[in-house]
Amino acid sequence: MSFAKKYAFCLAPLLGSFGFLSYFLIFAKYPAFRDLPVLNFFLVLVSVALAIVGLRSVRGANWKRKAIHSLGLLLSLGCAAMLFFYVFGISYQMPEPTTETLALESAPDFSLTDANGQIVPLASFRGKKVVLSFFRGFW
Amino acid sequence: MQSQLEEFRANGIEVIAISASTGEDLKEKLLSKGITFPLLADPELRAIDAYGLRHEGGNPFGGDISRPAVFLIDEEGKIIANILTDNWRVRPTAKDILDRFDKG
Repeated sequence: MSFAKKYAFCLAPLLGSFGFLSYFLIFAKYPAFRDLPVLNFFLVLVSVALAIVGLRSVRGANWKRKAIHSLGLLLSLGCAAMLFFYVFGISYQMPEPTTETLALESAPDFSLTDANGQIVPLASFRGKKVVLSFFRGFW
Repeated sequence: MQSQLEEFRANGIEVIAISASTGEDLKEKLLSKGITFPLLADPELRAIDAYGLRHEGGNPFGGDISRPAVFLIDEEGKIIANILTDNWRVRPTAKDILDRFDKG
């Protein structure tokens, strides 16, 4: 624990960055963790807690050590803020469904090229049930 | 989607995915993720506009992309349900989709 305290100023921001970045690199691929990233929340909160413990441990020490631990806490808070802002803020930044979309009764036909260069018309799926998914990014 | 595909196919349901990416980008995705359902490129947003899904400036690197949306289409080409998320991180599960088909 004394090691963790002593180096909290760099361990905490590292843990915080991992808590933020691992959402995109790892957890977003698993639907349960993508929808509610509890593990990421846990990681960034532990990182903030660790930074606070680090800062408290240098009470009475010289200003340099205080400054470096304060910076560690700021960085950890920054990572936590980015994660929460992404999860509860940015990812809701979307236009409302258009009346055009809501009014659709039969599926408008289209012909588009698939990844192998083949042209795929929607009409070629007539007679089958289809899940038509419009997606972005890797989701 | 890929992991849920077998469940859909077992129920006689096909999956098609459309994005505003180019064919080249999709090819990469197809290979890296082992996707076996059609991934269609709509860089001109023709289908995306036909379904009213354009999200202006939605691409963080610039440009318009699709709002995420899932449509369930029956054998006659009728839309029996749309699933329009309000949060781009959250998508319907296979179970949601199968339940909707059952009801439809």
